[in-house]
Amino acid sequence: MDQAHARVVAVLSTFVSRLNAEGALGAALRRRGLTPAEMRFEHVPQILPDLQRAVTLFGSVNASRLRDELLSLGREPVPEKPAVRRIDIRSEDDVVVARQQTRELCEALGAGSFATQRVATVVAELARNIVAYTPGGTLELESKPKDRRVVCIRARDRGRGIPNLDEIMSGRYRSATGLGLGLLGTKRLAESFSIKTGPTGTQVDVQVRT
Amino acid sequence: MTRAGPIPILRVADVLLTTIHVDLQDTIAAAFQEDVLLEIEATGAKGIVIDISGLEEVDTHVARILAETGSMARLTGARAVLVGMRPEVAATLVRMGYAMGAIETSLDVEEGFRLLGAWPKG
Repeated sequence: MDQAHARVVAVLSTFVSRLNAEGALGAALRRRGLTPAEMRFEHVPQILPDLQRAVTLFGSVNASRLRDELLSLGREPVPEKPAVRRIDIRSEDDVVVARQQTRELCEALGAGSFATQRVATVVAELARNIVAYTPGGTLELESKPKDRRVVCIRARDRGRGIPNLDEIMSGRYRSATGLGLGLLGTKRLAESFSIKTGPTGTQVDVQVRT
Repeated sequence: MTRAGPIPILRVADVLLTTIHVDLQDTIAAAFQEDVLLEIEATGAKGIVIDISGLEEVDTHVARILAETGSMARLTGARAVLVGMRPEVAATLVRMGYAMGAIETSLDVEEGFRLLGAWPKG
């Protein structure tokens, strides 16, 4: 039996007996040439007058409440798709905010303390690079839609790009400030890692399993 | 002595003890390193125990500050011992391929003091 049919019967049953509820709905559907299996929530407004008439025959019914309850069926808010957390990164304080957001997200995903540490460290590295080397950027955090245990992190900045990226990622480069260590370390903590860099900015996409 | 940074450094017998409980942002980090060196010079301490049990995260930036501080202390004739690193932090740093360099490490403050020979016997 279709969910719409069952839900409407359930609402009607709060006003009249279940037997009468099924009878009233069945009659209303037949008049529209519908079977219970074909019924969908969008048919409710069409059959509503028939239902109201039928149900009031069986007892004293608050017709407007009946209408409101039937019309609200199938209109429950759709579960929100997991929000992307977006954090502007300009100063060291933003790095702290980014780490806190990361810990919250990991906690919501039920991640353990070691995994949480990995994700938070990746976020800290990427955010610190933005603060140290660029005029600013953003970090986006979300859990992977198809695999909730994976955290996707995207760091974008408006810097001038990383000219010696290959050298850095090969591990041959050690900067005075630690950029090489941070990016290479991030890659080692990640399940997947990609970086695009150019004269208008850098984008790093990292996935870390929790 | 006037100190530049917000991280207190205590003298206990002939060693120093400091507990880092705030994020080592650039300005704080620089002030902390200066304070450590000035305090070593002023007290003639033979070592310093740096407790990081209060730090939730140690990324490569913070790790580098700590390792540097150890190297600086060593140049002034004092041993620096890093203590209280949380297991999660240790695992993450190693996975990142980060070595702490010259700084010695110990489990906790008590062990750090022992390492420096500054824990009272019996």
